[in-house]
Amino acid sequence: MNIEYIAGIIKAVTIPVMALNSIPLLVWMERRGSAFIQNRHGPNRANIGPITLFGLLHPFADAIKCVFKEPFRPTKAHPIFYPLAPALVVVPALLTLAVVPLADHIFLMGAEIPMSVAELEYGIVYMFAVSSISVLGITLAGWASNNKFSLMGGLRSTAQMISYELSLGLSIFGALLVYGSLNPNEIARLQGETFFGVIPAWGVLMQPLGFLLFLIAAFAEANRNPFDLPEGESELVAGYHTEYGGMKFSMFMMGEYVAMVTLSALTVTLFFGGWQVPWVTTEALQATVGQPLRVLCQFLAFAGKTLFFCWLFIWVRWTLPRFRYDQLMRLGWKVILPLSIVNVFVTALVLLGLGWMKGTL
Amino acid sequence: MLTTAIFYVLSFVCILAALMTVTLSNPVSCALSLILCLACLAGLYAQLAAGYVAVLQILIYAGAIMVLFLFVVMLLNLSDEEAAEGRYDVIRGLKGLICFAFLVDLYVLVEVSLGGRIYGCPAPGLGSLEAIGELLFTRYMVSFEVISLLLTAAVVGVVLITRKGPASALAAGRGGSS
Repeated sequence: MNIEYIAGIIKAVTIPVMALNSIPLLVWMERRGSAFIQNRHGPNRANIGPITLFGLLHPFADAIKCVFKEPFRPTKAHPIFYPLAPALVVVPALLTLAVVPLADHIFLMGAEIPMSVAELEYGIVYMFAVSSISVLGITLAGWASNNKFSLMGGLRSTAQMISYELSLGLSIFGALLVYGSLNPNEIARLQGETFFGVIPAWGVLMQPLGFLLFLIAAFAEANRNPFDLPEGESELVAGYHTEYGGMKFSMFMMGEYVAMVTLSALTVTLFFGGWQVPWVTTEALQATVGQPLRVLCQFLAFAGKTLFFCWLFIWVRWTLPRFRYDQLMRLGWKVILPLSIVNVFVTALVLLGLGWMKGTL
Repeated sequence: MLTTAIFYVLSFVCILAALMTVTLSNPVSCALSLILCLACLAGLYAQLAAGYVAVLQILIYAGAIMVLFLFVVMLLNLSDEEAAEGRYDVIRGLKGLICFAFLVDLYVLVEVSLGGRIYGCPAPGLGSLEAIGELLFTRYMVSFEVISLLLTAAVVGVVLITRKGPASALAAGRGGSS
């Protein structure tokens, strides 16, 4: 068997498993983090004898509870679409991770192996395409539950996600123009240079407005506070997943957390250098510590940055109040979208000017 | 071998989903069947080494257009009975006849004009990012721009039609509730 096939199979198994394993960790971070922010203890009771592990056993208790709950289906819910909807939320979220590079290419037995499941020249477009499917899952969940609160939640979510998907896509156009590539690994590699030898040339410095708009749109896209209107409990009970319980409910939660990881990874790749260890290029790092340690360093840099953005999601959720629906729509269509278009326009003008200067001087 | 198997599975599911789209009675089921059909079509594009076209197919049709379709279907909330009303009237028969005529037309086109010949694979790199970008900005530039203009006009038209209140109020910049 070819080494590339074997590596491909290993990657296709490990990366989703890693993403799935990050869910309990993030749930723990969310609970302990919220308790920390709100000055309380948070869940810390689940134990095996004297071992509590700072509440790290709670996710296990949750998982066991969800798995052993009765798989209940409301009588009037749709027999096919009701169980299908949670799957349509989780699967796209996991598929999106396929193009995220965890480190630079490695050379193994004469083959160059990318550190993502599939390296596509249009990787960014792929991410947007696949993640747009998860809207279907939420909409379908709202409709198939046959409950008016669920339906309202589903409709709200569709409207919100369509509105913000547009801004999400447009806000990165500027960055893509600067990099001139849609390949995530290429984009990460291009951010390895430095300005004046001290500041890493990360996308956030070249596209500060683009980054800000992207971050806001990402929060809305992940259905997280301050934009978690689809499940606004004060008006919609629990929104689109009101009628779901047990493992089906936890699949929605899994989808939400994996989407959080994916969007954080995308933010890091586009604006924070991806797997770049600051100030050290792949070649320099490899020459100093050798290939295995180089890959480890880059992976840890990537994971650390991604974890920071996951924490930012949690941080914002427990700090800001929820928007009102009309405010959400106004922000999306009248502020973020025009600003994204202006950002694209200005970036294109600057790049054109730079091109002319290089061409004439 | 594996490629052929995948091709047949995709084609079979695609045709089945297309049939379900036109035969199922529940509008939401129809919309979802159409999404399945489009997804299979994307898979077929990917098999033709046109991965970018496949991704765009998912992004635009399955991700954007069909979500709007579903949104509208759910808002209208058509029930099965309403949709099934007047199942056997003349108009419906005419529609079926027209569709059948199109099918025959398609068959004749393929069989007669191509003479049953099977054309080979498209040139390598036809569906790549660069190739599509170049075609859009050179050969199809004008049509591309005209289509975007048309879509903008349609959007403005829809806003005008759905706005309540007399035209004079619109002209004065004080349209009805929006």
